[in-house]
Formats: sequence, C-alpha cells, structure tokens
Amino acid sequence: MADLSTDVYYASITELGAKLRAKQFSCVELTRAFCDRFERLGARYNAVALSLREQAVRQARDADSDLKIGRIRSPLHGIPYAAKDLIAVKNVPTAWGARPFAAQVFKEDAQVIGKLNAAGAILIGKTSMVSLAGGGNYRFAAASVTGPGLNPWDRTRWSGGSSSGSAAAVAAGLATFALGSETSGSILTPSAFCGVTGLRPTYGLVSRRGAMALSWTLDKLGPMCRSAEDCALVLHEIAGGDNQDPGSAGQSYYNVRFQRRPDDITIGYAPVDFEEWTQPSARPALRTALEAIRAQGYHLKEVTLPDFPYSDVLATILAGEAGSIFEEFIRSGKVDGLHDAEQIAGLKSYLDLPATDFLRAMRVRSLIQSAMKTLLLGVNVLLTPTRFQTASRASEPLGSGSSSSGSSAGLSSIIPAANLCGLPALSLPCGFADGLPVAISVVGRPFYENQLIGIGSLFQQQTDWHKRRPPVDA
Amino acid sequence: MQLSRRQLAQSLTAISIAGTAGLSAQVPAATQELDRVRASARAAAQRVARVNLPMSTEPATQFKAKI
Repeated sequence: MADLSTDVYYASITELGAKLRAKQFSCVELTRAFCDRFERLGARYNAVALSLREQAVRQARDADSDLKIGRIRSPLHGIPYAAKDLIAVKNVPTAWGARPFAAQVFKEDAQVIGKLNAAGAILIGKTSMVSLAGGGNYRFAAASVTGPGLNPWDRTRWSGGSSSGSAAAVAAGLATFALGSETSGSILTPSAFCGVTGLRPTYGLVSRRGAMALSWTLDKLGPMCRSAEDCALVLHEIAGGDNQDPGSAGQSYYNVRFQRRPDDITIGYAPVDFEEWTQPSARPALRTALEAIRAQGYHLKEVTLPDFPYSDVLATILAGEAGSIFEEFIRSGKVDGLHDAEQIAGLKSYLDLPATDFLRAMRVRSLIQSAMKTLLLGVNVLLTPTRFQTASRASEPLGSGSSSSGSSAGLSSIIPAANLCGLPALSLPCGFADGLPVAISVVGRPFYENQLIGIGSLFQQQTDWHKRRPPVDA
Repeated sequence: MQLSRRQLAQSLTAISIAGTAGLSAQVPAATQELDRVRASARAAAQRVARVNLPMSTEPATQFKAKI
C-alpha cells in the first residue's frame, strides 16, 4: 500500500485529482487510507454516523479501472467524500441523527448520491448530525444519536449544527469534502465553527430527492469543502433540475473561469456587525478580512436589512411545515425517543400552530422577498460575519454565556432573512479568536453562486486561513 | 436469597413508588418545557402579526387548462 503523507488528507480536490491521474497512488489506496482515518479519528469528534468502507472500496476499484483506460468522469473522480446522515444511501441505515430512526433503511440513493456516483466520487461514510436537522430547536449540542459534535480545533467546543459531522470531518481531514444541508444556518454555522468553506446553494438548485425533509420551502443541500474552488467543483456535479423535487428550479451550475473584476462589484456590509454584534475577541480577524476585501478593489457600501421579524417568520413557517412532515412521528409518541427535552417539546408544539399564523408568516415572507430583491439591486452581494460568536462549549446549553447586541440591526438577521428568500451564501474562514475559527459570509442573488465563488477564490488566493489544520495529527 | 411473599410485595411497592416519583418529577418538567415553547411560539406569532399585509401578499391560485 502506498505510504500517504498527512498532506493528502488536507489536499484540495484539484490537488488530489492530479495525484491520482499521475498514479502517485490508486483510488483504492486513497480510499482505504481515508476509510482508516474516518473510522479511527471520526469517533474522537462524534463525527461518524456510519462507515461505508466495503462499498467505497468497490467504487474505488471501478474508478481505478476507468483511470486505466483514460476515462475520467469528472474532477471528482476518485475523490473520497462523506454525506450528512439525512441523505439516503440505499440499503444502509439513514438515521437522520435520531434514535427513533436508527434502523431506517431506504431502497434508493438520494439524487445527489447518484450524481456523485456518476461523477466518480467515492462515498466513504455518513456523517453525524443534530437529530432531525434540529427541527423543534434544541438546547444542547448532545441532541444527536451520536452525541455532541466535537470541534477538531478544540474538543471541548461544539462543531456546530446541524451538519456537525460533515464540518468536523472536512476540518480534521477525514474526507476531502462532505455534503451538508441547511434549513436556516446548518451549513454555514458548522462551516464557520470548524474553519471549512461551506456553500449554501440557491433554493432549488440542488435536488433534495432522497434527503430528509424538514421544511419543504426552506431546505437546501450543499457542499462543505477546503476551498471556494472545491465548492464550485462539487456544486457543478450535484446541481441540476429534477422533476421529482417540486422545489427544483430546473437550473444547472457551470463553473465559470472568468469572473467579473472586483471594481465591477459592489459589496454591501454593515459596520455594526463587525464592531458591535461580534464578540470582541473575533473583531480583529473580521476587521482584517473586511480590509482585505476592500484592498482587492471591490466597492463597499454600507447597508442594513429592512425591518422585519425574520427569525419569527422563519420559526413559524418551519413549525407549520415540520409539524406537517413529522405529524405521525409526533402524534405516535415516538418523538419522546429524541435526546433533547427542548426539541421534544418544540416538535410537539408544532402541532398547535394555528393555520392563521402560518399563512400570516408566509405573507410576510413575500414582503421580505420583495424587500431583499430591492436591497440586492443596490449591491451585488452582502458581506457579514458568518456567526457573531465562535464555537460554544459542547457541554453547556447552547447560547449560554454569549449574547450579541448592536446599536442598530445591520445585517445581523442575515441567516433567517437569506434563507427565507432562498439566497445562496458562501462561508469563508478568515482567522481565529481564542484559538477557534472565525468566518465571513458572502450572500448573493439567486443563482449567482459563481459570483460568490469568484469573491471567495480571490480572497483565498490572498489568505491561507482555509489551509490551516487543527491539531488532529499532533 | 429467598424472599417471602410479604417481602416481595414490599419491594415491588418500593420500586413502584420510586418509579412513580421519578415519573412525576419528569412530567411537570416536560409540561413546563412544552408551556414555555408554546409561549415562545405565541410571542413570535404576535411579532409577525404586527407587520401590515397588503393585498399583494394574499395567497392565490390559478387553474391553467393550457399545458
């Protein structure tokens, strides 16, 4: 077996692909090495839901056979990846992070798994997650059948939710990329906490067929990677129309090499986000990132979100949709098998939601969408800290010991606001505070992922925060 | 060790009482949690209700015979 250096576990998709094509090692050797690492180190971070070693090695053999005859299916050919455990993989358990669903098995692969199979990527395992992607809310990081997601930068800290294991796996070099999902913050938050680059695609760009539904009108699937460029390579393979997903926009994604020049792009931001809402120890890193963006030649314009109760609207819509989706689970009492008392109560309360409240929230949502459209006509993208706090302690109630406030709202509600509008976002590591990763996000117009990737790639050409490694191998 | 029927009955009663005590402690906690979450949802709904809604936001449906 080839002796693979630690660098291989932190290599980008492009770098690994070049080494595979140069026959520095085979797909099988690479897959076995990643499976060993996924199984050996995954438990340290509670990041693994299921190892898929046998089928991964089978896939890798096929990928090697293709390579021998010069057939390269895509840039992902032979690249090991992991998928959040709410994405169905046929004939193996898909537990949705929840004890009551531990034995659940589907007969079909999710659409994204099928697309990545066709692209030659190698699925090495399923990653852990907050139960039911956090539907109902939860008080503790331990709201998962696999225990609290632990952060590779500091195992006393949370890896974020709900795509906890996907972020930890990429950060710790257990997989080259991972799939996550976001209803409101579940890709961006763990990406920021673990120091990986995460892309939340536009609603409808990536088919959700075969993935657990939490909210029909809010759910998105997206990649969590080592760089913006890697996110583009994965998105290229998983995006596309699907007439079996009613939310599908019927659009594809093409990774455009030629981007608009920075001086042709206006970025909206709110100084109050960086100077007041963010915890003091993270402000220097965020200020430096903001100045790096400015120095690249972008036009920066101060903006603020229109005044709406974003979180309340999102919570109400989520309650209505998740209540309907999980109605039988809640009424049957199986919900009591979950780990987190707040989550159990939250899901039960969903069945009490008056239809009038749901309809009102949907009507306000349409106003929010109009207002955001107007805001994004004045600027090309929005720039914010991804989270105002670094990763919280894994053992303490979430949100304890941390409170954010500002003299004005700025863009502080961008996560619920952008999710209500289905807008894409890219989270980029931009430094550290107290030894924990800090990140910025760029949020764009619908289907303008290329613009976000372009901004992210340029930022990552001039910084190396995305290449930093946690003390996994020390 | 052999238990008399009286001892067995006493031990079962003790287990039963202990179990009930644990349960009765859990039930109010769960009820309180549910009440708290419901109150939070009501408060959210009230904040949403403060937004004025023009006709343009009314739900509508259209039947299109032409495919």
